[in-house]
Amino acid sequence: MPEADSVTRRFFTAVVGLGFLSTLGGLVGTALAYLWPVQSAGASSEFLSTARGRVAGAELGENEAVVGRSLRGKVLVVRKNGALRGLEATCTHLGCTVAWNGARGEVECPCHGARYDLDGQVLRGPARDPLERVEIREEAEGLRILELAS
Amino acid sequence: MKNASAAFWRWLDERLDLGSLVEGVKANLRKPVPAHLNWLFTLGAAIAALLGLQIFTGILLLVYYRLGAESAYSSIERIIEEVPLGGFVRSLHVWGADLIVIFLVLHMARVFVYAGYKKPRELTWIIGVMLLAVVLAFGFTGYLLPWDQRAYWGTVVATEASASIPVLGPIVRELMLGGTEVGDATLGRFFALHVAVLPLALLLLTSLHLFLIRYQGISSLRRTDEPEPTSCEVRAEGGEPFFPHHVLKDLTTIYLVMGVLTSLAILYPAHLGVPADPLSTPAGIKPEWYFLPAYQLLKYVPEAIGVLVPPLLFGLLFLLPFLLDRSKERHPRRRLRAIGIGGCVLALVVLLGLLGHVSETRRTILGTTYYFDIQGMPLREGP
Repeated sequence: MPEADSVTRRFFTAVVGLGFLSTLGGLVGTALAYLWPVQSAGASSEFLSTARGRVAGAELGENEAVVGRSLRGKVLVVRKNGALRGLEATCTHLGCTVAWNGARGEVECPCHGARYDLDGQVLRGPARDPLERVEIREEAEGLRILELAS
Repeated sequence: MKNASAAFWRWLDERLDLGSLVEGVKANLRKPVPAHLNWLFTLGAAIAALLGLQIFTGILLLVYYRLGAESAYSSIERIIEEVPLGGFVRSLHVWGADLIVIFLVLHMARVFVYAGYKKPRELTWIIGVMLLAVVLAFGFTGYLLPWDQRAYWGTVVATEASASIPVLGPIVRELMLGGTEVGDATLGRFFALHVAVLPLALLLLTSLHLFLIRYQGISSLRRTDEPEPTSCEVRAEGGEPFFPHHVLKDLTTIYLVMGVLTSLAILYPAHLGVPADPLSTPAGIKPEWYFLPAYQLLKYVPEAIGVLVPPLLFGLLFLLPFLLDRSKERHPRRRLRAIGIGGCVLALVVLLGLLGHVSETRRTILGTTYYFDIQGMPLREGP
C-alpha cells in the first residue's frame, strides 16, 4: 500500500479508473442479464385457445374464422369449403393481428391494409413476406396446431 | 413572527454563510435581458411549468395505478369513474404531455430563428435536444400504460418498426418488449422507464439546461465573432432586468397555458378505449400524434430506411451548431437561408403528420366525401 504522498496522479487515475470501469461493467452486465427476456407471452399447449378456452372445430361454420394462441404463437383458422386452413396470424409488416374477411375471401391486416390469400401469399402490400401456413388437426380435445409438413 | 424568521435566517447564515450566496443570486436575477426578448422567449418557462405539473399529476396517478396486463386497464377505469377528480387529473396528465411536445417544438423553433444555439451556447442546445428525446420517450412509454386497444396496438406497430433497424433492431426490440410480443413484461419495462429512469434524466437535464441559461445569459443578436454585450450595454439598448420584468412575462404565459390546459382537460377528457386484446387488432390503429410523421414515412419507404430517418434527424439537430449552420450571424434577417431550410424541414414533418392523421379515414370536405387511402391520398367517393 503506497503512502499518501506517493499517490501520484497516474496511480490514482489507474486505480480509480479501473475500479470505476469494472464496477460499471458489473452493473451493466447485471442489468442486461436481469432484463434479458425470460418469458414468452404464448400459450403452453399445441391446442388452439382463446380467452374463452380451447376452440373446438365444430364451433367454426363455413367461411368463419377464429384467432387463437397455441405453441406456434397466434394462429388464424378458417373453415373454407368444409376444410380447416391455418395461418400464423401476425402480419409480416408491423406485427398486427390479421383477420378473415369472409365477403372478400381474403386475410386482411387492419393496421395498414395488407392482404393475403388462404395460402398466406401476399395479395397487396405493404407486407412483403407471406404468412406461414400451419397444419390444423381436428381432434376430440380441440384444434391441434402443428408445423406444416414440408 | 417577523422576529422569529429573522432569527432563523441569522441562525442559518451563521452556519452556511448564505448572505454572500443570496447576494450572488440577486445580482444574477437583476442582470438585464436583451431588448429583443419578446413573448416567444417565455415558452421555455411554460414548458418547465408543464413538466412540473406532469410530475405532480403523475404522482397522483401512481397512487391508484396498478401495474400488470390484468390490472392496468381496470385501475385506470377506477381512476376515471370512482376516484374524486380522477378523470380530471388523468386528463391534465394526458393533455399536459401533448402541450409539452407542442411547446417544445415552438421553443426550439424560436431558438433556431434567433440562433440561440450558436457559440458559446452549443451545450445548452445539445441538452435541449436531449430533453426533446426524453420527452418523446415519456410519451412513448406512457402511451402503453392504460393498456387499452389503442395503446397496445400503437406500441406493437412502433416496436415492430424498431425491429427493422439493421443488425441491432431485433435485439433492441426483444429487450424493449421483454419477450417476443407486447405483454406483461413490456408493461413493467415501460413503467420503470416512465416513472423512474426518465424523470431522473429529466430533472438532471432540465437543471443543467436552466443553469447554463442563467450562467451564460440570454443570447444577443450580435455576430458570434463580436464580444457579447455587457450588462451596461444591454441596459443602454433598452434591456430590462430579468427580475421582475421578464419573470412577470414568464408567469403570464405560464398561467395562460395552465388555463388552456385546464380548459382542455375539462372540455375534452382523455379517452380510454376498450381493453387491450392481443388477438384482435382494431381498424385504423395509429400511434400518438407526435409519432405520426415517422409512422407515415414507413408507408412510403422500406422499413429499414424509414426507421433510420428519426435518429438521423436527431443527429442533425445535435450537429446543427457544429456542421449545418456555422455562419457567424445571429440576426434572423441575416440568416434567411438557414431559416428557410429549417422551415421547410419542419413543414415536411408537419405534412407527414397530417397525412398520417387523415390516412385511412373518410372525411366530408365542402359537401364532398373523400376516402383518404393508406398513403393519405384523397379518393372521391361522391357528394
